[in-house]
Amino acid sequence: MINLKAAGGSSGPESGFKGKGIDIASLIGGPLIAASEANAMMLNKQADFILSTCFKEDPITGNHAPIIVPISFKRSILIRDEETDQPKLDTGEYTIEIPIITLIPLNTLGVSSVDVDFEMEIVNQYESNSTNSSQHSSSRPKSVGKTPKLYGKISYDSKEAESLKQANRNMNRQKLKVNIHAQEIPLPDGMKTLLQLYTKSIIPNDKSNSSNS
Amino acid sequence: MNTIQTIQCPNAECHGTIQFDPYLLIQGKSFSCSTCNSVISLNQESKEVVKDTLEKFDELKAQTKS
Repeated sequence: MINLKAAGGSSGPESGFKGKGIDIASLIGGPLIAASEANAMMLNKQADFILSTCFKEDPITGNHAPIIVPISFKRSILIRDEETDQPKLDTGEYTIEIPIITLIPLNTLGVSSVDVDFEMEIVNQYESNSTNSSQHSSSRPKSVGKTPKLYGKISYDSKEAESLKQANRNMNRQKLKVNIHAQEIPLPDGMKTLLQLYTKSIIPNDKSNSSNS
Repeated sequence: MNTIQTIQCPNAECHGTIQFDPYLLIQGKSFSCSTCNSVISLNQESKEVVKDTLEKFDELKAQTKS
């Protein structure tokens, strides 16, 4: 859910539309921050899933060890037949132990785009002295001058007003369209490296040997 | 959605890879290495564990997409 709070010294979202208007930076930043938080929630959920289903936690040390599953592996190799002295195909059956995480088609679902669409009527422009901010970051060079801040009111949709012929009514309505699109994004490099390490460390055990031991 | 996974061929003499679909793997299908024709399949004892994990993963995907 996206909560937009209007800036400009007023407390409620509605009161921001009055007076000097809404700070444009807050209006654009609000949906972006909400999308970023939603993204973090999705990633945390996936991380929890990976830890709870693909790893088991050591109750004493708290370390997570991968859950291993055995998989059957058959390979054919050419050997020399001692009787006929001819090459023959010998099939060996092995068991490989593989971390379950390498079997899961992991992907990351993340927010790929956020479109914030609104028409704004600028009602106020303030200039704040930016030299005050230098006390927070002493290493940065002091910027001299004034930073303009824009305040405005979200205007009605002019196209809609024409079609409906209700311009006067629409003057009191504000529209902010936020389209958030989520899609599968590539796995993080750290996760890829972990999976590569696991898949490269798979070594077959001879089934006959392992059953004897 | 692409569910194809890739692992390095466990055959030490082979540098190929084995591509497999875990959903078909739990149904008993086997997959072979494109280089040395080695074959992998899921052991009977692993089926339940892998199936359970894939089901939980599908649930998670459904939750995040809704």
